[in-house]
Order: sequence, then C-alpha cells, then structure tokens
Amino acid sequence: MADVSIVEIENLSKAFGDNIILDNISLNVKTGENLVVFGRSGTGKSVLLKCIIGLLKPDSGNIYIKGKDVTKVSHKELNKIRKHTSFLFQGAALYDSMTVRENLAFHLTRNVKVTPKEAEEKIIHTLDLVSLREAIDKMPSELSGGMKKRIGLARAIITDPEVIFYDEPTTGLDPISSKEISELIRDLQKQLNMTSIIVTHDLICANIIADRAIFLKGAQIAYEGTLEELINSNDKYLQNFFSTNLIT
Amino acid sequence: MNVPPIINKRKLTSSERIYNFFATVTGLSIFSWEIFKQAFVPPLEIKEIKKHMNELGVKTFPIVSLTGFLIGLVLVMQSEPVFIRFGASDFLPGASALSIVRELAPIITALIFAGRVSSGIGAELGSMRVTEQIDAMEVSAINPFKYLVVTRVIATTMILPILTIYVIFLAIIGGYIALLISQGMNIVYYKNAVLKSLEFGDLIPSIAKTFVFGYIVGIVGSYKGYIADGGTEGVGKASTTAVVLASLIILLFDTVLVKISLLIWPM
Repeated sequence: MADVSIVEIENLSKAFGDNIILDNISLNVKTGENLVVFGRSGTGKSVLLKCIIGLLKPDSGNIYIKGKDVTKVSHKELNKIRKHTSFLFQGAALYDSMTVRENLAFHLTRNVKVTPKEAEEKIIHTLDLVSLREAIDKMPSELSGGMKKRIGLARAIITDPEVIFYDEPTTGLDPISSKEISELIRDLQKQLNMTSIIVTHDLICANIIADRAIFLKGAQIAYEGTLEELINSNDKYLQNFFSTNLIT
Repeated sequence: MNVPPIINKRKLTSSERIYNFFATVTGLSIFSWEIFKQAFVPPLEIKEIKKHMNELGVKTFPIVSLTGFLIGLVLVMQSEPVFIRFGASDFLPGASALSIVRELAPIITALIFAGRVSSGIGAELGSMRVTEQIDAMEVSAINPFKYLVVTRVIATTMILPILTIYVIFLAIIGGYIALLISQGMNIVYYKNAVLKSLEFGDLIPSIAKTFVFGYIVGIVGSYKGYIADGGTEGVGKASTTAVVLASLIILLFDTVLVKISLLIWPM
C-alpha cells in the first residue's frame, strides 16, 4: 500500500430535505488500500459512495480523486476521472438487454481503445478471473445472484480501474458465496493493485477484505481503525452491532 | 441533467398536482433541449438508432396493418349510405381518401404508436432506472442520455412517418374492398378517383406532422422512464402515464398543426 492518498474527502455534507445524511465528513483513502464502510441501514453509506463517484451532488465539501475535485470539475472532466474508477452496484446492475459478453464489451470498448480481437481476449481473460467463462453468451436473467455479482465484478474490473467502489457486494448471497466473492475481491485487488472502498454489513466479507474500517453513525464517522480494533472496542454500540452481525 | 422532481404520492393535493404539471412541462422542455444539443455530437450511435427503428417498426407493424385496413373499410362502409342519401356517391372514393390522408391515418397511427411504443420505452427505461443500470452507465463515463434517450427519440421520429404512409396505403385499399363488396367497383375507377382528389398539399402536411408525433412518443416515453422511481410500482406508473401523456400531447399538437397547415396549404 503506497502512502499517497488517492481519494480525499473534506468536510462533506449531504442532506435530503431536513434529513441530514452526512455531516461534515472527512476521510482519506491511500493508494492500494481496502477501506470498509460500516453502519446501520440508512446511515448514509451508499450516499457517501454516490457522492464520491458524482452520482449525487454534495451540499458542501470537497471530494478529490487523484487530486481532482469531483465536486468542482465539469461533466467532461468528471468522466475522465470516472475512466479510472469502477462501481459494483448492490444488484450488480447488469444491462438486462445484453449478454454477458456485450455487458463487458460495452464498458471496455467505450472506455479503452482496443481492437475487436483484443476486446474479446480481454473479456475472456476477465471472465476467467471470476471463473465464469462458460457464462459468456448468457443473458443476465439466466444467471444466479452469485453469478450476477461475479459478472458485475468482471465488468467493473475490465477497464483496469485504479479505484473501485463496492456497494454491499455480498448482500443477498449465502455465506459460502459471500466468502467466495469476498476472497475474489481481495485476490483481484492484490493482483491488480486497486484501491477499494467497500460498503457492507457483512463481517465475513469485511474480515477478508478490510485493511481499515470506518463506522458511520449519526451522519458522521463515529469510529475508525482496523477491523480488529472496531470489533474489540469497549463501545456498547459497536459491541452490539458486531455481536448481532456475528450471530446472523 | 437536472429536471425538476415529480411528487410521487398516492394522494396528491391540488397544489401538488399543479406543481407536477409544471414540473413535467419543464422536464420535457429540458429533455428537448438536451436532445437537440446531443443529437449531432459524436458518437452518433447510428447502430443503436437503426436497432431501435427496426425493433419499434417491427413491434408496431402487425397492429397498424390491421388498424389501417379496418379504418378504410369502416370509414367507407359508414360513409356510403350518407353519400348515397345526398346523391354524392361518386365523391365517396375521393372524400374517404382525403379523410384518411389528411387526418385519420396520421392521428390513429400516432395514437397506436404511442400506446405500443411510449409505454414500452417508459417501462424499459424505468426498469433500467430502478435497477441502477442507468447509474451504472453514468459512473462508467458512458452518456446514458445519449445512448438511451437520444437514440430512441430519433428512432421514433423517423419510423412513425414510414408507418403512416403504410397505413394510408392500407386504409385506401380497405376503402376499395368496402366499395368492391357493396358496389362491385372497378379498381381502375377507384384509383383514378382517389388520385384525382388528392393534392400535394394534402399529403405533405399530414406526413410532416407525424415527425412531430413520433418525436412526442419518443420523448414522453423516455422522460417518464428516465425519471422513474419507487421500484416496480414506479415502472408501472412510468409506462401508463407515458401513454396518457403522449396521447394527450399528440392531440393538442394535432389541433395546432392542422391550423398551421391550413394556413400554409389552404384547401
């Protein structure tokens, strides 16, 4: 992990009407680091990710990705920054009118200059990484939940992004699939040296992936540290959260 | 792109309904402006436009074929006794052709197209919105508005005039079949009567306005789908409201365009 920050958040605030979701949050993520974002439902974890990637406009604050403030740049500039990032959505968000091959090719060919032959090779190589080469001509409707997540992951990494955002990558999966996806994310991160910000409730997933974790509570980062520090904390709230998580 | 949000509740107050009306008008205006801005900027997405034209044309082809034929058939069947009563049965082929070309074929094709296509676009884009597929494009530096909306609006604008010409042709054939059954009319006589009654000023404005109707079908369906929220219920709403709104706007524009065409090409 390099000591240079690739994502920097300064005094970020976001509210929907009177409902304050994020209040003056500051955060740094180093290159190659895996940061896990914990928090109860509705505490703004996904909103944080969507603000970072520019899907939501923050009310105030600055967000820098590779030194460029995504809250200030033009849409064209924002798209240039987005070419270095990827996002794995909770439901994978595969394009259901396209086959797996077309899903991957769509992102690849529109962001990277490749010949059709190179694109095909890259698609097959990426599907091999997620062990789903046989699904290449399937439609998303023919895939199971775990397979969709894997293909979503393949689509996210096919452009070799430097930063990847995961919104609950293991939600809805059984414990074994959840572990497999988490190990896959960790292995890919190591192989491709990507920086990851992972929103999750899943302690199995966090345990496999996290270098560092933050905990959102009351629209702020209430706790920060290694996963071990958070789990072993004397704080009643954290103890309650993690003990419930371990039981479920 | 910032379009004003629509208030989405089961029961709306009068002021919320008024707000939603103006939010929709503003939203459609912003959509129109964006379409004109982005339509000519590369990549032109020609492949995608062709795909939509093919799909939308094929989807609507069977229903407009049947409707077109029946319009002509029923129109002549209904009009024949009236023309006979007034001693004007010789004018029936020409008068029915004029009705078909000037108004019936364009408006009925547009309304069927709205019902079939506007709802389909609304449901498709609405589903993509609620399952975050549109967001997935956005965060991948792909312009979803250009790829999903502009291509569909161009396709609907181009395909409706073609469908209308086809419907006109079938409706005139339907009219002939009605006269063949009732009077045993000769086809050459019918053809000459129809061609004699039609002028350049009849065909051009009626086809020209179908470009506008096609545009309305595309933009309303895309707008309703693109801003959909609230899960599957939101998708259903996007689909049904798209049809109602598109049909209403088509009828309003038809009134205005008929008046304009009568000023440019008086009878």
